[in-house]
Amino acid sequence: MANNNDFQVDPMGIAYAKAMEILTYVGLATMLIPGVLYLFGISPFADVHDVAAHWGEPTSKFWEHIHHLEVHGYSWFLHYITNMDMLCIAGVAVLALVPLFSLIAAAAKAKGRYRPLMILLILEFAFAIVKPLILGGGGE
Amino acid sequence: MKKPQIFSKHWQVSVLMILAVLACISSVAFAAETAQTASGTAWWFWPLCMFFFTFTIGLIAPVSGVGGGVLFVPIATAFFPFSMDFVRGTGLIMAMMSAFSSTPHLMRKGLANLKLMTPILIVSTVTSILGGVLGLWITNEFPSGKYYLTIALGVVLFIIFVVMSKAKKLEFPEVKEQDAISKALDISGAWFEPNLNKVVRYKTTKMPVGLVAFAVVGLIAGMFGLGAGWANVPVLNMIMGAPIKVATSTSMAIITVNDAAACWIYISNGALLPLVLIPAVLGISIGAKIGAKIAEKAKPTFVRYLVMFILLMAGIIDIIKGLGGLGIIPKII
Repeated sequence: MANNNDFQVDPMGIAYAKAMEILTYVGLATMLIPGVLYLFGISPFADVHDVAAHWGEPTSKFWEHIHHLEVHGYSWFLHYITNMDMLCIAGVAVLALVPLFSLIAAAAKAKGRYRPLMILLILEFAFAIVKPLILGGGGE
Repeated sequence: MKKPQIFSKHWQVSVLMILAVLACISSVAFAAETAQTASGTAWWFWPLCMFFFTFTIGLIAPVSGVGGGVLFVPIATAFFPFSMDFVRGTGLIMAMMSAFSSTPHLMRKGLANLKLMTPILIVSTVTSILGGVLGLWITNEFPSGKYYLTIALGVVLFIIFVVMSKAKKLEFPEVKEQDAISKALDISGAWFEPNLNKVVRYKTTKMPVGLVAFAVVGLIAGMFGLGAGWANVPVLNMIMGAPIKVATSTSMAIITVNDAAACWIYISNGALLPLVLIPAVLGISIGAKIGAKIAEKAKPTFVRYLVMFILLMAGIIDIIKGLGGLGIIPKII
């Protein structure tokens, strides 16, 4: 009778899974803890009443109304990272890095044709991260 | 003798879910009343509504098999006061979060296949980034761009409705011959199927057609901040011949990369608001935990039909809202 031992899960997949599991916890904590503190009014950058008054506007106009902030690349939140709402957005950035590190972990285990393909994928992902810095965000 | 059951498990689950939805609606209504009497427009009212709304989505999503983002974006666009940019940014994070939490387990089981998703991702990552850029560019550069995008979202929802109603689920599709790419990359896999008590082995085919389909899906997912499970699964299952369990699991793994890549566009454009994001993530996380337990016990078909109905209604509302915004029809929403 067949059982679990009859097949082996691809080592690339296992490496991807392990990295994703650990890093997701880190990202979640970085996003949720400051986010909840912000909701309780601790060290905000954007006052919740101001946010509620303008949250119907497109992003560029919204941030212009909130502290006249110009949103380009990633400096707009990194510059104010001591504030809980901006730290929460940094947490989202940590979460968005999870697949990159998971792909790197998988590439280390990749063999044959998969190694260049994984490297290509990592480069594409890295381009997605640096694109706003090189070409500006959102085609503006 | 076995005692006859007056109500089947399906009925019990259905009643439980309806009660949960009603409880959420009553809480929101109560909150609305309190908020209005307190100060006219309390800042916490809509974030609180967002929490209950995403909690309800979390309950429904695992039972219906539809990703949270697909339900969240159209309904939030139609009924919440937030800019579509923030709604799409939040929708993308929600879809990403649910994919992150389930993919490691599915990969360890052999259900999500990294070999299968690698060539697909090389294509769809590029198009999902383009979709994110295009969506934000339209809303920010054109005064009425958001209305065109709302109409387009309504049309996409119609397409999702048609795909959901027409798509068949092929449990173990037979792949007689692999295409050249799939053969060269040795795209195959295996998992232990407890229902059959044996290891199921499979291979996939028609990679070139799949790549074109995933390019289009990636563009739409990035543009509207939708998770793309509704389209990924039929392509993997019906076109490429992956067994349904492999198709749903691999689709989830594809979403981890595609949505995270598109997410950077939203971060760099400031399209994330903790006041919207945190209640949404908390609501869907708690709701999905309960929803997953309900889904284990029963698969009520009616929930799937309910979701399809909601998507159809949201599609109609989005189109009416968009046309009203453009002045083509009187503004009624």
